[in-house]
Amino acid sequence: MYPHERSLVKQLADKPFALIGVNSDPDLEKLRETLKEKNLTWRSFWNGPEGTSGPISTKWNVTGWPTIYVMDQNGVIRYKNVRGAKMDEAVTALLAEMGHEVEIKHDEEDHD
Amino acid sequence: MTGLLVCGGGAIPLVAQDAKQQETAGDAAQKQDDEKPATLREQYQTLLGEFNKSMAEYRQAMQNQELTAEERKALSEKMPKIADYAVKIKELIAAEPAGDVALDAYLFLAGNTRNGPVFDEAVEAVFTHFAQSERLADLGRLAMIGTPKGDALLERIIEVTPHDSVKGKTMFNIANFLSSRDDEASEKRCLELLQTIQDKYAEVDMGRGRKLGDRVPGMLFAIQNLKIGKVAPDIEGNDIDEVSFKLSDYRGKVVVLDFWGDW
Repeated sequence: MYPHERSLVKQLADKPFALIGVNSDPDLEKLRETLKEKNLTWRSFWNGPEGTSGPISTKWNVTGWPTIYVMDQNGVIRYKNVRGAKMDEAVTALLAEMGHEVEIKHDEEDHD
Repeated sequence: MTGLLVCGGGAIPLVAQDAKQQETAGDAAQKQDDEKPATLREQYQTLLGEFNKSMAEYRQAMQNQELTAEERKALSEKMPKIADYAVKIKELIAAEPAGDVALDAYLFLAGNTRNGPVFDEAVEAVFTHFAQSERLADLGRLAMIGTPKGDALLERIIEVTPHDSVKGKTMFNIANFLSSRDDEASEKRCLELLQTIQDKYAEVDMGRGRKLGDRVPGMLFAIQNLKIGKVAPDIEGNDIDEVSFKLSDYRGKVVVLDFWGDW
């Protein structure tokens, strides 16, 4: 998933778009290293030392990872659990509603 | 001591305990014949061992990248068939169709098929001989929820079981599935189930000190706030550099919120 999301974030850098993570790795130090190593630039909430039982994922009733929500500019949930090309389509449609026509394209190695 | 290690009745490969040589399941069975008659449990484990071994060999053979399409097709026809083992297993447990080994066997067969005649027969056998068992909940976990047949199986479990734990856990599985759907009928049924769980089955032990009732508020929150069309609840927390921020800081942008972990 990283290559796809990295590519998406890069292509939409100048658009009103944000990828926000909620990370459920229990070890913060190790997580920081991972982010650096894999060049993951987007911002993530940290779910705390309890990992997958942490407060944010518990409140959001997340029982499977990854779980994905896509919100429009008003914060309204519009799509759930869209991955890969489906995520691209969702984001493209919501940006179009705001008057931003984008065409998301990935290199071969960016596919999941 | 023969080379059989029984691990909780699951489909666990057999482990040879003989220090001198690694025994295969077949050798173990042979050796047992020389000593004393194998128990039903041991015979069952031997059969499972054979099945697991042949499946592992088959998978390994299929992984060979140099196979031609024809060779692959020929090989795939030799895939070990659960139906063949089902016949052997049924012969074996016919002596004690209501015993512990039989229940393990039916759950194994149901879990390895999930549908079709072998599954149906195993399910019926469980209802015939084990309707009173708390392990009926395990059968419920094998149901294909969201299909008419899977849903009917779950309803039947709730109806026949005398145990609150089985009723509660099965209802919770259904509610959990329904909570992810966005239509009104699913929501209504889900709320009814959660109410029943709260009223009658909240004390059911889920292990690790947790009770079934503890799971209800999270699911209610999800139904009320996390459906398509709802404004996402705000999140306030720290990023990995321990800087506080909010999800609502990103209003005005399209946001992909990704619950992830590097594992």
